[in-house]
Amino acid sequence: MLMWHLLFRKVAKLLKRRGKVPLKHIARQEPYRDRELAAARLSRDLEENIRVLRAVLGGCHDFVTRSFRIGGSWPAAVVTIDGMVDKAFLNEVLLRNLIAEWPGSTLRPTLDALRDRLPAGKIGECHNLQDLVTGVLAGDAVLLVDGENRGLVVSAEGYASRAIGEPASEAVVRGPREGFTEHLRVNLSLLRRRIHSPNLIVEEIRLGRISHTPVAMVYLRGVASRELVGEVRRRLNRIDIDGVLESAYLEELIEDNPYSPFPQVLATERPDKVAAALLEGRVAVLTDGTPFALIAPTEFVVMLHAAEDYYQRYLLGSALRVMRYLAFAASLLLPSVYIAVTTFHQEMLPTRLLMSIAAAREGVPFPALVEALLMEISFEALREAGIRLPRPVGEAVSIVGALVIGQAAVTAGLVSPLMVIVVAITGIASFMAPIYDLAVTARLLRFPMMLLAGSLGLFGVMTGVLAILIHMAGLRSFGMPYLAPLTPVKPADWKDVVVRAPVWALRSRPAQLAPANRYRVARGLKPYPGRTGPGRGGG
Amino acid sequence: MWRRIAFTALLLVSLTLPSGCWDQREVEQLGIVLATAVDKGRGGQLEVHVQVVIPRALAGGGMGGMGGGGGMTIRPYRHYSATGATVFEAMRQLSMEAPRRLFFAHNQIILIDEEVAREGLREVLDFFDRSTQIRRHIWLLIAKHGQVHEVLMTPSPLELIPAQRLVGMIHERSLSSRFAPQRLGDFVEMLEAEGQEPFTALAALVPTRVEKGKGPGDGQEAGGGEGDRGVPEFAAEPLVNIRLSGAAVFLGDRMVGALDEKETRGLLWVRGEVWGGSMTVPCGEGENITVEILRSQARIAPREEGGPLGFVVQIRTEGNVMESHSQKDLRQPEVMEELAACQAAEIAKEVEAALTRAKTMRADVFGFGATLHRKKPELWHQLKDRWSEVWPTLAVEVQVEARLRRTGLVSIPLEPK
Repeated sequence: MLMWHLLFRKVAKLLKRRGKVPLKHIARQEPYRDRELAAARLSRDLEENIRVLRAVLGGCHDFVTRSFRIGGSWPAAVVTIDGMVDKAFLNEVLLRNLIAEWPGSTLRPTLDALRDRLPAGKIGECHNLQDLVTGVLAGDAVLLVDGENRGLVVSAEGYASRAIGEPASEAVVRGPREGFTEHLRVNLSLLRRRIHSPNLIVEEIRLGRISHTPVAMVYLRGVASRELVGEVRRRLNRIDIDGVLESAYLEELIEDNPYSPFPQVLATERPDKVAAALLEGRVAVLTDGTPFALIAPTEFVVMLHAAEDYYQRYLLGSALRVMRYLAFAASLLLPSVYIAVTTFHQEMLPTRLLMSIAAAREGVPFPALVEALLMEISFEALREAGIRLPRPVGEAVSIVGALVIGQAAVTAGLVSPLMVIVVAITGIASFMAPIYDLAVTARLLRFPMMLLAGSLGLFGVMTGVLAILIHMAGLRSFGMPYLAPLTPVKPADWKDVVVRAPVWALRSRPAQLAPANRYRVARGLKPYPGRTGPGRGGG
Repeated sequence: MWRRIAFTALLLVSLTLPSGCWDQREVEQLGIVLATAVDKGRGGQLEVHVQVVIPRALAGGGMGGMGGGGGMTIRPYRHYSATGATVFEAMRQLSMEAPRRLFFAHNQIILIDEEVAREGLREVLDFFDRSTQIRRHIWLLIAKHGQVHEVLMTPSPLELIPAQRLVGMIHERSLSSRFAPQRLGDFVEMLEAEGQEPFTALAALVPTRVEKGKGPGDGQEAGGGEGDRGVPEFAAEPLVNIRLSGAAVFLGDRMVGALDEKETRGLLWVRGEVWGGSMTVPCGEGENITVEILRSQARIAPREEGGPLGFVVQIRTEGNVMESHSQKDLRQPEVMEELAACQAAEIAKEVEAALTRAKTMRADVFGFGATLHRKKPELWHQLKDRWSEVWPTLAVEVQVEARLRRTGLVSIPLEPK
């Protein structure tokens, strides 16, 4: 018995090496491995193929096999997953054509002949079980014809997906309102519509041993540096994970410093932002199933730049940007500075302010540190609750929270009104970060900063700030220094850091990306009232 | 990796927690001192007063819990006094009476009794100069003998805390330029400088116009409730007001006398510190115009070679005509020049008055010696040991250049017909 078994294994192994496993060995109860499926060639016998498919996909009740006869005589079958294909296309176009209107019924139609006549936009071929199954599971319809040891993979995707909507986390007043959806094809089309260039390269791979999630690496040939593209490709290719459900999975697998609290890859749901990054020579990674695209590499300052900075007049854009930098600092430091100053350095306050703080704190039972921690934690709880709860309930919670925490806590003498103001300003400031990930970082680092302030005063705050700065200076994003162009100093790129220079002045692409194409704006584009200009009536 | 992280975290925690918090103090645990006064105490000791704010009583609206229905009944400040052989000793005595740790970083006024000043400030100022909490930019004032306590206790409805009231008056000093307060740091520098004697403003009490019998002793009671005939009573006005005027003049660290208000402005003219104030200038018979001073500059120089030592004081000032009782036509440039010349003469008189008074006290508050030190060091080194005898004998020439800029909205004075 054992001997027979060993012999069988040996034979199976031999056959597998030659890429020929008899289909009957595929039918079993154990999980199927991609390698096995890839090794299993399709048979010329339609019945056999369908039987094996049933065995492989038998547990899936949404797996549909529709057997029919081409032109009423030649046996064939279309296999699909119910709900993944466009039913109208399947019924009205594919089946109707194949069954009724196929004329050459006396001669068995070859697969090539069928392909030539089928009214579908994209048709591929499959020779083994893996290609077949992958196609079917991705929403394609696979046509199997008796007597052919291959199938036609007809693109018939028709599953429901969300319509293109306004990006929820990055709204703008002026600028495109389109945001990415969960559909990779749609997302790529949004990019293509912004950059009509054959040099917009989309390299697609499937990541996830089980999930086989399509992931697209997008870059501009001739702009992005070859080294960068190669590095992103290398990092994506080494990913070996069971499933990729969100781009965050990839982010954590391709970032340079896995222990850092700072995001090193920018996640955005704005196609215009991705297009702008591509034009600067960066690489984008789009993942099917999530509206968030990744942009690599990303420096710290870029995280504080909103898309709208470029869509508003540059003076306003610059002013808002300056405010955003200040707000980031405030969201990180305001509570800790307040704690430090009120518990260690009262001499730094103006006298009248000190007196009003002292009056407000009179009767508050907690030290400033505990008071601040209490308020910050309850604020964070409120915020989290507001996100998680169903929308109508969420509003109620935020109202109750504001009343309870803002009003009742003060009236009850648990916290001082000033602390409420500090926490509120901090909260608002943290919403000013255009990238959610960065706001989260500031929120997270705020707490150790508060502890430092509460134990060491401003000395502690400065220690913390220095530690953060040193950490940031050591970070890399795909090998690029995180704090560039501030350090290493690249004065040429300072036109687009704290202030945003007018478009005609932003001639060169960021130098640290080492773009293959240095200049993006032609020389001498600064407008001036010329003699033939529109202002003078042209003459 | 995790071991390293845990180790680092432990290190950080032990760095911050055991070493931290040692000088931590919550705001509400502080006794915020706004004014410190040094008075003569019993048996040759010093008596130190501190004025501590009660923030709760200052806060409006929100913290109404304590007042009940009857309005504010707590005075927003509290005094503590103690005596000791030295300032610091007296201050530490205070901790036996004050429930909170006294915090001097916001001290704004140092008030010193005239008698203490006459005995010498060196010992008294040492503590204030040395202390890390007390700042050098706070104001040093001299109070008339025996009035220190009253000056610190006189409330005012506009500024609830006397210390802030004094500071407010000092901030508006250029509206009159008739008193010359000095910051602690400046005073100490003058004290140590060669050829410059220190001076600072005097604080005194002046009676106010209140109906006799109605004013309470020191005005600390608020009129609660209704009066006899149902007429609401307001908090009674205090009987006295604080007035800053003139300048206390020191020779070394001892106060030797005072300049009156006119002489004080003379001093400020020479120092180029008149930044405002009014000046009534007689022009013609019984006719006055009043000038508002806008700014001034002054330059002291030893007289050029070839004569006996002396000084030239050049004063340049600009002003506006604010009031005219004369029928002169101010549109004429010659008239304006004439008026300006009158004003210049008037300024010279003020300076002369200051010089005369300072010379009697031998105190070179103008800094002639310091100028000589800078301009003619050899001469200064010959003279410096007997400077206080030498300088009153020297001639000082005062050159004033006054300019009148604007005459207001009226160019021809009112003429009833």
